[in-house]
Order: sequence, then structure tokens, then C-alpha cells
Amino acid sequence: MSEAADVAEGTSLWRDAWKRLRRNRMAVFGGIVASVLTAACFLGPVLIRITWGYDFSAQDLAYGAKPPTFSHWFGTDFLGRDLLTRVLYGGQISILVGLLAAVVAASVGTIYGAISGYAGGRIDALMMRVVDVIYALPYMFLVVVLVTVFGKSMLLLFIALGLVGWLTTARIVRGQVLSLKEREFVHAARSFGVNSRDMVFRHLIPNTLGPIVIYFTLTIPSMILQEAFLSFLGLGVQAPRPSLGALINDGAQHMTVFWWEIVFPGSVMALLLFCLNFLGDGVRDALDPRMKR
Amino acid sequence: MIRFTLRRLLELIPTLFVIVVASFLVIRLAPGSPFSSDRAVPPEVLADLEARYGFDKPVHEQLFNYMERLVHGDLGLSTKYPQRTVNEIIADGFPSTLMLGSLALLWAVSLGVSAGVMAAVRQNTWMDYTAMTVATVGISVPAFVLGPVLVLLLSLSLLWLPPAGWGTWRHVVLPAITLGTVYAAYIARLTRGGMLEVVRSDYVRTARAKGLSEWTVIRRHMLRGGLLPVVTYLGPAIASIMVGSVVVEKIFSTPGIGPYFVDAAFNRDYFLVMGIVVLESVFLLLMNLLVDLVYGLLDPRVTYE
Repeated sequence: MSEAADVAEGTSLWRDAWKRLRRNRMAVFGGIVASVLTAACFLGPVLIRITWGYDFSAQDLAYGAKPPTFSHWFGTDFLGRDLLTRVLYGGQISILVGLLAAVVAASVGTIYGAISGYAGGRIDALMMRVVDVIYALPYMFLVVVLVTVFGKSMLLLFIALGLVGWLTTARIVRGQVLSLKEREFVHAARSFGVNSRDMVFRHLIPNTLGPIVIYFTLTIPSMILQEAFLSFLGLGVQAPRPSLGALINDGAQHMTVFWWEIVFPGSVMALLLFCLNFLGDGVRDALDPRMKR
Repeated sequence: MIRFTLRRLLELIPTLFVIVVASFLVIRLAPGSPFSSDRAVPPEVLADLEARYGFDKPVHEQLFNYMERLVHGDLGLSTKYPQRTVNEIIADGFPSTLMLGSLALLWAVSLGVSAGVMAAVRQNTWMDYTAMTVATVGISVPAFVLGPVLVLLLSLSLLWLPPAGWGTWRHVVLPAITLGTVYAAYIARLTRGGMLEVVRSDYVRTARAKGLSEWTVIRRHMLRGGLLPVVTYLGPAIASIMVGSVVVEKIFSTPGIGPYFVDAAFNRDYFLVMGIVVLESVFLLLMNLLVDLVYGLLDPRVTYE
């Protein structure tokens, strides 16, 4: 594919998709609310500190566990920490973990799948066999084992989540590459003497971006969910740093008396996932109209 | 089909072997010891303890011994609960985990398939939009949020159902709903997609042309093809229902094996962790095989080669 044709076709695909996405009301709604939530999570704690001077770990034992008031919109937890600050800060961590883990998963999966599909033959068979075996593992159990055994660092959390999330991307990209590599532009590139590395990274992967983006947007909420799952079990982000999962865990333990401790973090978590899921569905429908049902 | 099943069963052995070796090495080579959390133990006692569990031998020898006992169905001794074997702990906990999981799956399939069929049959009406919006909400509310909220509403406010415990049918309702709802939402979306795929196909038109009632067409002809994506999804779904039960069993304090697993990993209770990993793996692999077999029953084009 020549440079000019590449640009022309590329922009029209993405522009079409953008047009379709903007027409999808639920997706636009999801995108706006998710952006507002993200902005609130990152700016909110700073604003609150300037206005009221609360910090996510600042305790006020004399003021423990109060229901929502004007000075504490979400109330306070049993150590007197402002719950709104903690929920926003936790949201910040959840969003970061979700994004980074999704990036790890998408990159590893894309490179692995592209190499496997491009290599073909025995190498492909072997690489896909590895994916099949890992698919068969009870992987969340292995993540739990990994995290408990190797300590609970944030970095390990990204890696553990990212490493189990790459399998589907690898399969999708491999399938795409298998069909792409018989196309004329690949033959043309090969006749120019393009080496394998450039072939995979400059010709094949850019042409599979559509499905990768689709799967990436749907991976983010599922990574956020899995981080929350680990934090709920006490294996994720460690105290005094809050994450939404950890806050929900705290809330679940005190919910008989302090209902706001479960209701607020739970609603924020659900709202965030809900918007990201709608946005992801919208991106899928926009980039691949055939999938729309 | 019997030959296919047997061959697939044989193929499970190398996969299981890889799982056992990999998880054994990860757990065994990690820092920490099952006896380090106790009060300071005299070195002789520690040596005694290690000898009792075989931890004094080199790791490859331990792995070999473990495999040998595993083949005979012996999962070893727990270090946290010295008076019980891993087999006993699992035999105590697994039935209730299995019951909870099956009921959750039953709830997920019955709710998901009926909602999905309804949405597909009334495509692009308010019923369709409502069902699919509710399904996306359902996917977005994780079990560890849904569980506490249900307890707050149905147990603590309305006093309809017990908030925790185990024993009567009333105890199992909330955990099963909590565990199954997310999957119901996924299944609803998949069912709708699968049904819409077949709704305009020739064999469905033929069935209608024969004068069959709408209900018979759906039940006898459309469901068979439309449920294929759902069946494919059931394998991974069963696996993650087992994982999800860890959370649900914690919320509702039911006596399953889930809570043991996290504690065991924390306490470096090597054989208990291994026992649960092996159990879950075998279960998961068998379920995936079952899904493949059912797939063939539903779709006559699939052959067992």
C-alpha cells in the first residue's frame, strides 16, 4: 500500500467511525460521564485539599464515621477520613491501574499475535498452543498466588493483570495477520526487501489497529474490575492508599451501621464501569458496523 | 464421539502436568515459610516440622513426591490446620461451593436466555432497549458491590432473607443471585446476538412457512442455533463463577473452599493452595470439554475429529 493510499483510506475509516460514534447517544453519554469522573478523580482531591484541607489519609478520630454533611459530602469513615476524598483518590488509582494494565495487555498481545501469525507454520502452532494452555489455567487463582507470594507492589499488580489479559488480543491479532499477509501490499513490501521486523511493526500491526482498539476499550473496565476484585480480597493497593475495591471492602464490613461507606464507593465504581462499557460498545459498533446487532 | 472424548481426556494430562509443575514451583520457590508467622520456634522443632512435611528435601524431590501422591489422590497435609488433611478440607468445603456455583449458573442461564430471547424477538422496541440497558448495568455492577447492596436492602431493611450463614434454602438465595447476575447480563447480550444471527436464516423461514407457531419456531429452531455463542461462553463463565465464589463466600460467610484459598496463599500453606489449584484446574478443564461436546450436539455441522 502506498503512503498516499494508506493515509486516504486510514483517515476515512477513522473519520467514519468517529461520525458513527458521535451518533450513538449512549456511547456519547458514557464518554462524557467517564471523562467527567476521570477529571473529578484527578482534580477533586487537590480542590478539596485547597478548600477544606482534607487529605486521603488524614484522620480525625474524634470525628469518626459521620453520615454525609455539607462539609463531608460522602460522610467520613470510622477513622474520620473524608470519604469523598478517598473515593476520588481510589477512583484515580483504579483508572490508572485499568489503563496501564490494559496497555500492557494490548501491547503484549498485539506483538505476540502478530509474530505468531506472521511466522506461521510450526512456530505459530507452538505459540498458539502456549496461549491455549494458559487459557486453560484458573488464572485468577494464579494471580492471587503471585500477588500473595511476591509481595503486594503496584508494579506487580499491573504486570499480573496485564499478563493474564493479553491472550484474547493475541488471538484476534493473529487471525487478522494471517489474512493480511496474503494481501498485495504485503507482497509488494516484501518485493522491496522489507525485513521481517519492519513488516510486522510497520505494515501488519497498523492494519490491525481497528480490532485492537475495540478490544482495548473493552479491556479497561475489565481490568478495573479485576483490580477491585483483588483489592476487595486485600491483595491489591495497600492501605492507607485507597482503591475503590478496598473502600468497598471496608464498607462491606461496616455496612450494618455506616451505609454510606458502601453506597458511595459502590455507586462510583458501578457508574465508572457502566460508562466505560457503553463507550466500549459504542467504539466497537463504530469501528466494526457488522458487529452491531 | 466416545473416541473423541477419550482422546480429549488424554490430552488433559499434559496440560494438568504443566499447571501442577508451574504452580508448585511458583509457590515453593517464593520467599516466606509456612512456619515463619508463628512465635519463635526452637530450631530443633522447626527441623522436625520441616521433616514432617518434607520441606527439608531439595525442591525437585518435593515436586516428585507431590506428583506421586497426587496420582494416588492424596493432596497432602495442611500446615495451617495440622490436624486435617487437604483432602478433608476440600471434601468439607467443595460441596457447598459447588451448590452455590450451580445455583448461580442456573439463575444466570435462565434469566439471561429469557431476557436475550425477548430482546431479539422484539428487536428495536422498548423491550429490547430496556433489556439491553439493564444488561449493561448488570455487567457494570460487580458481585462485591451487588452483594452488600442486596444485603442492605433485602436483609437489613426489609428482613426478607438472612444476611449470612448456611443451612436452609433461604441462605442460598442471595449468594446465588449475587454470584450469577453478572453472567446473566453477559448471557442476555450473547443470546440476543445469536438469535438475531439466525432470525433471518432460511431454515427459520422454512419453519415459519410450515405454519409452526412463533413459540415453536423459537424453541425448536432458533434457540438451537442462537444459543451457540452462549454455550461457547459457558466454559469460561463456569471458571470465573468458581473464582467469583471466593468473594461471595466471603461476603455471606458460607462454608465453601473459596476463603480458604486466599488465607492459604497468605500463610504459605503450600499443599492446601496446590490442592485447590489442582481441583479448580481439573474442574475447569472438564467443563471446557463438556462445553465442546454440547456444542457438537447443538450444531450438526460440528464433527468430532
